Amino acid sequence: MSFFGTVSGKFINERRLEVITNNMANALTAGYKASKPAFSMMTSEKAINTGNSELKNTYVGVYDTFTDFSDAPIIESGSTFDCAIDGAGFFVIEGKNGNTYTRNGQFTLDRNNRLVTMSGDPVLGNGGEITIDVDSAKDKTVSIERDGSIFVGKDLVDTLKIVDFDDKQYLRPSGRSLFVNVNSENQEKTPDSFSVKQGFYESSNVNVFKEMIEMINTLRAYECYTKVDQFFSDMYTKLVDLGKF
Amino acid sequence: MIRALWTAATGMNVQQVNLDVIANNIANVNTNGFKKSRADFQDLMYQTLRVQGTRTDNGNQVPTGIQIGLGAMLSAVQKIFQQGDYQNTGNELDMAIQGNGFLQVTLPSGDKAYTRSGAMKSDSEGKIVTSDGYLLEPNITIPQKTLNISIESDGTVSALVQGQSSPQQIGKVELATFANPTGLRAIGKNLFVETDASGTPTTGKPGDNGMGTLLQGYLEMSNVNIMQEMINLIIGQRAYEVNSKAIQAADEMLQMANNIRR
Repeated sequence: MSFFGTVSGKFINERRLEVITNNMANALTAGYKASKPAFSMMTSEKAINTGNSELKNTYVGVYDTFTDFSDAPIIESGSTFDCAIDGAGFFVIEGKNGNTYTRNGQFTLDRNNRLVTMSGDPVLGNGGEITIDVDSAKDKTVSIERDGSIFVGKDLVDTLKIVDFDDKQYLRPSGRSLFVNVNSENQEKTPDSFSVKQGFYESSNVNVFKEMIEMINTLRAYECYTKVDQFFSDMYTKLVDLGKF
Repeated sequence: MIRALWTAATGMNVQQVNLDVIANNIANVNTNGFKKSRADFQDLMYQTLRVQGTRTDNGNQVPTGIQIGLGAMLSAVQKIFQQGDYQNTGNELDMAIQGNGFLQVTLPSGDKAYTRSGAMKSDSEGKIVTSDGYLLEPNITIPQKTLNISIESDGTVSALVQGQSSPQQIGKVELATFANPTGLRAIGKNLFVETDASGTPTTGKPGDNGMGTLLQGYLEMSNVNIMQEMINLIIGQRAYEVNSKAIQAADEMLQMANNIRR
């Protein structure tokens, strides 16, 4: 019977390793926010509906992932369209199904002079998509101020839209360093304090030392469950042998 | 489990490309007019195992849900067009661009290419060419028996020919700028060609409309900072290493699972 218990234990540790691995793979991904595993004891009587009351509360950890939105180091790149947000907030990126949000400020211009992410999605300003027409400007210097306003020469083009949320846990990662807001009640708001830094970008907030330790823990926990499995396996073998004549 | 193996493999994969880019930067630390590249990464898609906000069997709402990321991918390798240092060569056909803009050259195919490396030579007919013999655009021919050539900051090229008392103007160097230089495609030999992402070039006189000015007798050096590259190299190598450790961990776990039945 107790194979069920160890199987669920092994199962959550597999999930745990997958999350850690994804963090490690993104150790250098700009604007990446680490995912964290969370466990709790499942107290439900319906956890596995075997009808055997002795199985209650004995196993199955609920496994969640949540995003660690803590700040990451800001790295100087000197690239004109790289921006980092110092403080709270997200850049707003136009997605197919509404706004998406990111801390990855590695932007560039596309052929239509629009400010876009490295995968070509438009970055939004207070006036919608941002077009930076460097060609026809007299002074071609692009400068981005602390409040996010973009100047070509002395002319104000637009201001980067930077928003924050009361509950960031409703922001779900959707790949390409973007987050989607999954709760319509969780509205965009103006961040309390931030400043935009041109020529810098935010790196990943993955702490590889912590991930490494988590990985070792996961491995050892898995090993532990395997030992128990083995014990039961041996026990059953003996049980079967008893029946031999 | 197998998912963790693949995820770690994507991590190793992007770090390998990162290393390739860094190695190329380091190899070009002394290449005139070279612009360093940078590899940019993004996280791959996520597999949602449980949507957040669903209710558990005992009526509680799941606060966060389960999302498993599937690794990292390369989003771009872009050129960083920071200015390189200037080096005095004293060579009268060397020119450095102070500010934005590229020198234009004609490829053997007839297409135009753009370069920041102003190490020019003259060919047997006196035409100004790059080290590979590609013609500078617009063409400038140096008259025979020229004693002295001067290139003004606005691109005017004058030659003092033997037997003449004052220099004569023989041509003008033009520069080209792009709306998005990071969109240019590098084709080697210090040359770039235009792409859809870079936009079409705007040509003009050096010094006009935000174009840079020319500096005769100087070359722009590579903008690779060797210290920075070394640090990136170490970081990249370590990131590769932790991903390989993750593969080991996944492998060990699989092995344990296989060993239950002895």
